[in-house]
Amino acid sequence: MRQRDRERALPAALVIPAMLAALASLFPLVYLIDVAFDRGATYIWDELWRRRTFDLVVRSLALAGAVTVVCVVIAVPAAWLVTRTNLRGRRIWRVALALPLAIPSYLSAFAWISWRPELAGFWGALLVLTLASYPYVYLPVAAAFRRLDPALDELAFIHGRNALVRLIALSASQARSSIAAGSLLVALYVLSDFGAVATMRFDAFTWVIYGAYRAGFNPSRAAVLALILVVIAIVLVAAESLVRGRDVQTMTARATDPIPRVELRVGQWSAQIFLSAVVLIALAFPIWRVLVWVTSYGTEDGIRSVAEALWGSIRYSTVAAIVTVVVALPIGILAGRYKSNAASFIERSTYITHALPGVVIAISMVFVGVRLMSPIYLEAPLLILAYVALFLPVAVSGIRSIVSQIPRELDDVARSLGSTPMQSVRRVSIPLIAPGIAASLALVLLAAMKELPVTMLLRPTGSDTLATRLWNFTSISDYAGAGPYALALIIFVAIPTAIATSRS
Amino acid sequence: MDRFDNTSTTAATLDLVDVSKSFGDVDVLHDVSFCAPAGRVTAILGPSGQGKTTLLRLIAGFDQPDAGRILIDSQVVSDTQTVVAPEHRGIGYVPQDGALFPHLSVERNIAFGISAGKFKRSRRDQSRRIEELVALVGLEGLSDRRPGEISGGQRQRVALARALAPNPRLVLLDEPFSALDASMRHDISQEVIAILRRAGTTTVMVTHDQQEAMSIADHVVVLLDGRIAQQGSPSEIYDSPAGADVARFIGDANLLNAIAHDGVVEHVLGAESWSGPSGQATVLLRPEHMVLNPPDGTGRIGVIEGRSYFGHDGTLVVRLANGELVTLRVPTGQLADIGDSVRVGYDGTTRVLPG
Repeated sequence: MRQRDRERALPAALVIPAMLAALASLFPLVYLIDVAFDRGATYIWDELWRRRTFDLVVRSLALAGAVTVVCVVIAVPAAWLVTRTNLRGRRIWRVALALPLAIPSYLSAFAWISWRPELAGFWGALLVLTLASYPYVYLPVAAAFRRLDPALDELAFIHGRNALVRLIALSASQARSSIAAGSLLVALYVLSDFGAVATMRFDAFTWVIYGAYRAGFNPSRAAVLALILVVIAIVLVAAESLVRGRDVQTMTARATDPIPRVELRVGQWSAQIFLSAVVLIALAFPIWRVLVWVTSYGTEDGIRSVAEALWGSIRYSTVAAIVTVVVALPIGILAGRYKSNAASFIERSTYITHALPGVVIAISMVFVGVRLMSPIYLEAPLLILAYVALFLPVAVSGIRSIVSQIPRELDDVARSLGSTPMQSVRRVSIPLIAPGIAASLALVLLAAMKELPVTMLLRPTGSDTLATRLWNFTSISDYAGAGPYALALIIFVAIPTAIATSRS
Repeated sequence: MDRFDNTSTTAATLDLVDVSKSFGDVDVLHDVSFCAPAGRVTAILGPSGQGKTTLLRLIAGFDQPDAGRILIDSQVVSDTQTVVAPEHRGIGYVPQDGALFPHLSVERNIAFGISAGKFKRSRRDQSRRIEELVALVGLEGLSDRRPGEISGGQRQRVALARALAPNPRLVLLDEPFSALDASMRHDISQEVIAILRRAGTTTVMVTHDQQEAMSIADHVVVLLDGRIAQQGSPSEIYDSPAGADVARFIGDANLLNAIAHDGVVEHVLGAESWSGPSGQATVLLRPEHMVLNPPDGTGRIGVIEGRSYFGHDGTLVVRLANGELVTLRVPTGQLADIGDSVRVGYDGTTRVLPG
């Protein structure tokens, strides 16, 4: 089967646009290197060996490490409780525990700092990023636990004392690579995140890169730091793809058999309290704070400017979603359909941009804009291009997974029944991938509406979005002004994101 | 490109001449030549993973052979110069799992080939044809179901009706019954073949199940290691296998070492007259031609090492004095016990295989 697919010639109609898109998505990176060399190679060398650069790397990695550890400590037991025990309300918990992904990190960071300003710095960043990113461990680990052989649990009962801890440890040892993959995603998220560290004024990579660009307008330093961050991020992405999916699937019973669950007796209450605490802190707290701002200060800005910002968000994000999905289609079809070296090379190259934090894409697009495309710098097309670069991997992986689920035989059968290749695409392939395309559109649309650093640096002069308005108010600690925008973000972005992700 | 009349069924003859195909370094098919007679059922029989599906895909036009020619009714559809696209071949194709279009109802699946594309018919013709086919394969009342809502056997019949809708001159079936439960496989296979015979097309099916091939097909092509080992009617292949590999693959076989010299072949149980060359030879004795304790007191002494009970009859595995093992099919009343000493003879039906 595999050989047959490999042998198939790749259709040029797919390869050429896919190749162009893949090269274009690497273009900002090339430009970043170019800007880094502006002051010569010796400058790069000096910058690399400066004490402040070293401190920055240590600080960022310390934050990423701390967040990762706390995430594992929260997410592994939570995943185990939801999948392997008779926890009450586990269907609701299963969904609720994933929902914090929908809350933008800058929004929850602002909720916390407005409540306790002394949280600013490392501890605040640790708190907010943990709450925002533990689902990256929770989701894969829960999926791995679902596949575990239930007989393992029965074995563990024999050991008696500390049964619960032993049980979790035993399950976790079987889901090692899922935990590792999730941890690497958390670390990547922490290093890429801009909103939380910026709000908490913690000097991590993204915040310092932004500062170097904005305050000093020292593009070379910003570019050098961005490149260091890119290297770290690429290492994380590569490591993640190495460990992902390594867990032995020990499930021996049929998938339809009900999984025997561990009886929680006294533990039932502790479990409910633990999970309630996680969800309350991660989800309910920011929403409650936003409601407090809105109800106590009213809308200072007027409904009209909120509506304008919402319209700005929707307009740019819709165009970005459509363009991204159109660009992602040939890549996703190639990657899902053809197992050739060329197809996987094209797909991989888009995943490099997956490692690029938003801030890095934003400033490299600024460089491209200022030097090469000044007519569209601070115009909508450049912003859209940046969104496409940022979200292409999301769309590609969505389309690839749906295309790879369509059996090749359907196309063959259609041909044998008298359809030409194009008729077969129209009558079979398109109807089958349409739901996947719609889901990718929705995901990119919502992600773009939530996005902060790219939008902030590249939005057309004079126009605003919900994210940028909220950021402007939060950076001057104006809760009254921020309230309505935060509420609009929850209603129009966080809630639809939660619905979209919990359905897929 | 109108290569055949698409409104009435005309069964076609299929010919393959020296067809070879390799994927990378792996030779999948080697100089494959055979003929599938018009209007008959031809089974391509071989172990799994030895190029049977590849062969069907070459015939259907999904892949191209590296060498050789494929002809339908003496017209070349594939050779080194000519490639007729799958949609112009008029071949119905039923893949292994049916491969129904999951987004279409049973009725729209059956109508796929005649509602658009090369074999499109008028709306009235379409509904008449669908009605005919639904009745032919016995799917009345299921027209609006989705493929996910019907059973495996029903899916197989929908796939068949869909393939037959444009009146193909040749229908290809890839392991059509292997996904079905053993309990229903026999009935459904008989039913499907009856439908195909009624439809009057030429049928080529591939299978790894020799009982299925023998009971269904008019013509059997044995494919071993990507080469045609033998072709002929089921009884020819069973009674006169071309070699030890075919004999072993088709049915149970006792293959005894033998020596040929001076017009006879001698083996542990006896000797046969033989006109072939002298030297090493192999003698095939089917278990049902073996006799336990022949009444005339002849036969060789052996010890029973294995015993299987099948209800209608049974088999015994006997180690002969010279160390060779033979299997005997015997009535259940004759099933002796392991360790018993017995005499083994045969009824004279043998076949000497070269080599």
